[in-house]
Amino acid sequence: MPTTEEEKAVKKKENDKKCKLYLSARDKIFEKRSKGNYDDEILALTQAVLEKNSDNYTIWNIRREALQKRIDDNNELAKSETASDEEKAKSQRSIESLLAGELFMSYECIKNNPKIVFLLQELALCEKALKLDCRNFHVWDHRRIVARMAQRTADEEIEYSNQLVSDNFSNYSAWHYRSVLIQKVHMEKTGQYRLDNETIAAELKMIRAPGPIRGGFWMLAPGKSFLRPDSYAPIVPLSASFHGNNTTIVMSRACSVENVVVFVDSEEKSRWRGFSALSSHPKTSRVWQYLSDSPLRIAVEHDEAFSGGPWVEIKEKPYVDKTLLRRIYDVDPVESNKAVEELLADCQSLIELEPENKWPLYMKTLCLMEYKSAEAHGEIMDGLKKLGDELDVKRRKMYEALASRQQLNETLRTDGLLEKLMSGETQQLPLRYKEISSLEGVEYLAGLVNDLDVTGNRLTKPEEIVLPNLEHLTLNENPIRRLLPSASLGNLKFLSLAATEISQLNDLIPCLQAMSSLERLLYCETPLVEQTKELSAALPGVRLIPHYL
Amino acid sequence: MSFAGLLDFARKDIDVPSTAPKELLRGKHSAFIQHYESAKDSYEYIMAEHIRVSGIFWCLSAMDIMNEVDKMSKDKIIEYIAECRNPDGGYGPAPRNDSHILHTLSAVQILMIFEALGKADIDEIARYVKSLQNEDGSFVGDKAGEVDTRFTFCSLATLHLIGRLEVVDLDAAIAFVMRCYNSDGGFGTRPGSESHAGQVYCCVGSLAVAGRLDDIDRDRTAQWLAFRQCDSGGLNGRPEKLPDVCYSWWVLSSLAILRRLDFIDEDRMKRFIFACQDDETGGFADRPGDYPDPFHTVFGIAALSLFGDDSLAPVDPVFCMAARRIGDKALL
Repeated sequence: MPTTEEEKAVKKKENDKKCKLYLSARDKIFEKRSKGNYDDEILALTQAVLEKNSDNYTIWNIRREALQKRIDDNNELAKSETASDEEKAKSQRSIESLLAGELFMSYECIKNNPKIVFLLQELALCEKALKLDCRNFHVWDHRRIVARMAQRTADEEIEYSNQLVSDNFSNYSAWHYRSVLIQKVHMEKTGQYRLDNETIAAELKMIRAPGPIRGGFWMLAPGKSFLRPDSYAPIVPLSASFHGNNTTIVMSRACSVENVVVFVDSEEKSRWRGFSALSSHPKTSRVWQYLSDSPLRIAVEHDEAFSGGPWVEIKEKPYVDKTLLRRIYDVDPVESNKAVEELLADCQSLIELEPENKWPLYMKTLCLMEYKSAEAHGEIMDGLKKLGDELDVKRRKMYEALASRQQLNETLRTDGLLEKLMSGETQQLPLRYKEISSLEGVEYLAGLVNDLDVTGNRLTKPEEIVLPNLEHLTLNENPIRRLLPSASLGNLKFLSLAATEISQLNDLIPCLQAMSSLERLLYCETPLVEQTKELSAALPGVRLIPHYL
Repeated sequence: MSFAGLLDFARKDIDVPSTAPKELLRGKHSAFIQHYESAKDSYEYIMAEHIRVSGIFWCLSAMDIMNEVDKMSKDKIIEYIAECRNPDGGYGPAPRNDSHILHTLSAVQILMIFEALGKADIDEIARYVKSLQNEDGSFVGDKAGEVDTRFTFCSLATLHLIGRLEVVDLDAAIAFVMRCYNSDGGFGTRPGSESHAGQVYCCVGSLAVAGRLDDIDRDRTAQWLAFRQCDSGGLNGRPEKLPDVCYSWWVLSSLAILRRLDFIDEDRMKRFIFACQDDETGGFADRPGDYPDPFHTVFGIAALSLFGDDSLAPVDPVFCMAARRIGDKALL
């Protein structure tokens, strides 16, 4: 940039000249377009403007129109009975030379002229562009289209990505391209989304080939097969239960009410209500309530030829898909494999070599969470704590959220608690003093839990607890500053807020007033104790407990 | 090189200069935007014609979040927006330019900021947006036919703001978005495309508009977003890329929609955003020491507002506008 006044003046003069040129070219282009005059000059003018500013999409559109007009005219001429062969050949030659000079005009042009020569030219162009910038995702998107049109096989494209990765191991985009293709090939071969152990082992080997494991790549290539492919799981009821004023259906995945009604003996849609931690009126949810005093019946042998039964009564005893719920909370051990064991060993030696590096510990912990969550619970918790407290402090809350879910799973595994909840032996979920900051995942128990005690944790946003059948909730000793209105806490009869940080009535009253069944409110050891009179006025009929009994 | 150094070989980041600004220079930004609006014969202004209407939105939204929108020429801008309307019902970036969904959304947002949506022909806008949807649920950005999840978000957001979401096939639109959902938790431009923070914002925003945020694994997406924070505090758009203030908005707003804003370090984040301010001219640049522009300015200011700042109006994380302009159209 110019600094002195003199330089500035020179630069301004230069820019003024460029502006003038641009404005006059622009006006001429628009004028010609309005008259439908797509001559050589408009091609030259659009080219000149686009060379200076390739983002000007209207000018691209006009150029495309001009080229299309030429193509149409040529096709017209070719069909003409009056034109001579010589004229036709000349026109064809000129159109071919015109198109050969067009870069990235491709999609429309190729579509209209699916000649392999254009496709190969286009593939070569993509390769050239990726050499200049291997992460340009527009070029990658373009390559996907061209490769498909040129009927390149997945294996050929995997080979291409192999080349790029061996040229530059940090080519994250090539890794991504590869991982999608591997998944696709696997899906086509087996019909399974989840990769088999053999494929995982091969992928891990590839990623370990240059020696140390690189941070981000973990998340990408083999990582995806470790992650729960929940978006591919079938949509089925996990539980169905009757709660006096509603039937609650908990689904394996978030879905719309249309997906829920096929499992019950009522087609009525207006009585359903979904619950979400993220929005007050979700269109899709994992937790659905049907508001009615009489219970629904559920059909679980659902297949595509749904026959309307046999119906399962849930009035006395909830329906529970125990196998799926056990899987959700990592109760049953997952089969490990050699590749995973090798990876864990690799991580371990790397941790010993470089104790300050977060990546090997992060990888190891993720891997343990996926494959050994029960037997390695202590190790997982230690790993997450070390990551959040020492090695990767900026993401501390993220590690706390991961640890919270592990604590929930561990609690449910301990003393057969999940089994007791599933059989109806208990409806109480005690999660006391577990350093929990998030209750993500608890919603799968929405039909089975009516009493939650989370005393002594790190919860700040109780409105995110999606357990709409809760009657008793104990939030004591959590750093909660306010209670936001939440549809899923609407059935509470007893709420305990002892030793929380709520001090303002305004941060509490609107939420409590929305709890129409609330009978008792305990708020010992909070500044609210001094405001008992005001609370009492705002909450007639609620028994207030400002001091421990 | 140490072993750890070797591991971090490809890591990309910047150093925040110790002399960089350490607090919000609010007054300077207001002056920067006003100057930008007034310098209509400058080279930069003229050559930015093809992004003008979106540019006006960036300027206005920044001013509105700073509670300074009264300083902008309301009547002239509304008049200009009307000139950008095309017979197809959409808006171009400037008169005589073709309609594009990006500018159509910006036009609607500009009119909402001025509480002048009544001046738009809602039916015509709805007709235009509807014309952009493909059979597979995806949206093109304009007649050139490019498909991108950005255009899905802009289309759904436009329709939501004008109250006409019912004119498109919402289920198909979301089905397409979910085809762009990658196993790493992020989203790409199209099925199979690499995850990108801008795309995550667009797809999470689309799910928010559709009331379908539970369709994704919230924490998997939030983790991918959290890993965008570099040691400098800045956020990048993809792994192994440099941090940039505009990602402060796209990553943070997505985290805010997922209620996981605390997954990143707020203090370090703010330090980076503050450092991207130009303490002479005002305005924010992509990175400390670069030249400022309105695009990075609105995203810098909006990002700071997400954390709560007494001198800024609260911002709506889905629409990047002062929350008070959204009213009963708020989603969260």
